[in-house]
Amino acid sequence: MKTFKKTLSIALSIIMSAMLFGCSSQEDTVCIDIDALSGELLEKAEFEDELSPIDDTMIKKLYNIEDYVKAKVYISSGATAEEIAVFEFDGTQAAKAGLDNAEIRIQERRIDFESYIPKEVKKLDNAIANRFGKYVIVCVSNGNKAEKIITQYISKQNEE
Amino acid sequence: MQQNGRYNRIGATRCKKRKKYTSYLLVLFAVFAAATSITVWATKSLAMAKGETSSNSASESGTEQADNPESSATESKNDGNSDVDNTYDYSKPVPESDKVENSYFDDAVFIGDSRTEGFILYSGLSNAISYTSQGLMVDTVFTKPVINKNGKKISVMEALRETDFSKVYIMFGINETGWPYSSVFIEKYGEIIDEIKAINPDAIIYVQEILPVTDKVSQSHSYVKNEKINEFNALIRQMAEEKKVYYIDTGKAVAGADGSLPEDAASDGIHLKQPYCLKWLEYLKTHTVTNTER
Repeated sequence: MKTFKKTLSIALSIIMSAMLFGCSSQEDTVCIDIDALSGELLEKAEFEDELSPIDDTMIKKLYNIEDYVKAKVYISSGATAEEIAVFEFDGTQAAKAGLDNAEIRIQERRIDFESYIPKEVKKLDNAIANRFGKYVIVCVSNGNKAEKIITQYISKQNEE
Repeated sequence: MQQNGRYNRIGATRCKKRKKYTSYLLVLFAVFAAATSITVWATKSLAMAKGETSSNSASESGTEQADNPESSATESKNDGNSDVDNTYDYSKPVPESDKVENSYFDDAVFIGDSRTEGFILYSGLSNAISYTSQGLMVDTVFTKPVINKNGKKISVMEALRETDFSKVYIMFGINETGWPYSSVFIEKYGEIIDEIKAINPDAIIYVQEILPVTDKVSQSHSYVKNEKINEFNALIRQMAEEKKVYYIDTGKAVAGADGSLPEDAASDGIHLKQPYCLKWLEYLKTHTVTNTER
């Protein structure tokens, strides 16, 4: 009886570990071309303003993120809260921290725009800020096309 | 006894010689001290005479032209501000000068609203310090906690007190065009200048004129109008002259022939797109006041 219980415990532990490993592996297999996805969002999502890219030094200042591997960020002229940011990190832990910083930025922008251009707050409330494995995607746009664009992109990547 | 006598004579002679050399040294020292004192007195007198002369000529002519930016900001101690140059014509915008590199802005702070915020982001001037915020105005620059310093949000002026800088670029006014009294606007603007001078009396302070908006916005917006912007700019220019700070007619960098912002310059007619921010940067780089005496 004792032996049986011991064997059962070990077997269950192995099975649960395998399940966890399987989940993380699946997540880690998401592979995003930063330039391609940000370009698709820029082209197909709805924006009122013309967004322009900013360089790495500005990205680091804006998002308070230093440890990304690669990033593409497009910002508005100041007329709107619209923005696109796609980050690649070297692992999920770094990506989680990056996502936290992105969410802080969205919250701060919300406070700024509340008193400046209140109609932009809705875009910030509906902003996309998600992590996919080691990638973080942020999109503040007018409308809800961004989610579909990202979903289609990732589905296509998974099929390849 | 004889030997003692001889020694006494030798000692006496040596003593006399020592006294002679000592007196020579004392005389030399006295001459040297006198010469030094005369030189110092003469130098001081000359410096005072020069200071009086330049002060007199500035008050007589009223508007002495300074064509050479190199001579535009030399030290003068006449009014208590060590950086007021009484040969520079503060009533006129900063003249065109040799183009500086981006590194010129290494020790610069940009203070302003969303337009300046966009300028910093789009121009890539990451080496400059940017104390900007959407909707920031000449009064809230003292009170609104918008700058993150050491994990805490503080006002722009509080942040400036904790910052090392040598130059300040200021642009305010677009958000204040809706204020009922222009006098209140310019009074508050003046307080900003006074505070910056108190924080850093040696800083070069540039006040930039408010950039125009598109004609479409000027015609349709309830209060943002180019006529009002022009009125504010005239007040800012007058204030710059009174406060002896440098006025930059930045609007010339981006305005069209009619003085408005071209329609393609800004999606909303107010906030400049990247190409126009780069024109703005180019203008600042060719309109600087250098002071090699600093």
